[in-house]
Amino acid sequence: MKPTRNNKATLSDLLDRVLDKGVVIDADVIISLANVPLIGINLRAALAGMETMVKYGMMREYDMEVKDVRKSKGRHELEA
Amino acid sequence: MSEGRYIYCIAECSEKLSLGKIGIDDNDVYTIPCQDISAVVHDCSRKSHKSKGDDIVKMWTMTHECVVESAMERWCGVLPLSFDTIVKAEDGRSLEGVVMDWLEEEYHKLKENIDRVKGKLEYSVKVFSDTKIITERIVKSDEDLPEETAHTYKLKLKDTLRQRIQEETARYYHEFYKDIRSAVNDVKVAKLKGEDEQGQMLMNLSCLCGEGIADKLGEQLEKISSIRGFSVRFIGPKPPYSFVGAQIEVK
Repeated sequence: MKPTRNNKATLSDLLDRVLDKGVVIDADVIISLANVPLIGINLRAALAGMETMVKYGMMREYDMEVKDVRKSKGRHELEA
Repeated sequence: MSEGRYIYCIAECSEKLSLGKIGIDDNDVYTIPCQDISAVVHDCSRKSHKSKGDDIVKMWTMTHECVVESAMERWCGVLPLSFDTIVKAEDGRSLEGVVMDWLEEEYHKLKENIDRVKGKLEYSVKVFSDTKIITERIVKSDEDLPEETAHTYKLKLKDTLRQRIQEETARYYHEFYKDIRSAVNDVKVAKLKGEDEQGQMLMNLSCLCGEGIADKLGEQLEKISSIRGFSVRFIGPKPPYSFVGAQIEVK
């Protein structure tokens, strides 16, 4: 059996390979998605690799922001 | 003025040269060398790539992969980096200097990773099973299955069959994995993705193959696909994204 080149690569295949895999560098000189969640809301919701992205710090800041918003929202609700 | 360098990969290349305007958004891709390795980069702003839609994300990631593949055509040892790795300048230093210093500091770690995948390529292997055919085979060959057709027996039959199908597919999985593992340099098991037009996914593997190894893998896959009820999707070669080590931390 001979391998074929996958010319009809789906977005999910590409993201699996290019986002979830490959060397991820954690260094001061690397910006690597510090502030901006890489992908738009609709696509992010569909991503199965979210855990990996959070694990590798790609979305850490976004994740923390979301948690902060939730916390402060919860606090306001308690105070009200 | 560009404030960052987008890095596609680290390649075993000791000279500064241009690969042309093959980068994301048609940027000029070139190498920044340090000793016998280089960062393959383009000039960019400090901003990360923010999505404007699925098609654009797809185009960016495809371009990222194409640049890594071009680097692999030129150089034997290439370490693909994850999408959107951007180096920024610090304390008024030149960006090129920052990249070179970083390569210098991480030289041994990067070199070690490059050596591990040097001359090897990644192939995606997905094995699918046709549950209907496997069920028919079990029904024909299994004498323990209840023959009665009353309601309670039908339920019992369903449970027994489910168990037999699980046992049978697990047996095949182990057999196929053993054959594939023995043919290639390394294997990474990826998550299964359910059913598609080819059937129920039984295996989703990334296989690392050196020269001539892909042919041996092809022979094993030929054997698997000749078993009735199983089919194989064999895609590649691709840069060895799954085998480059997870994370490189800098002190």
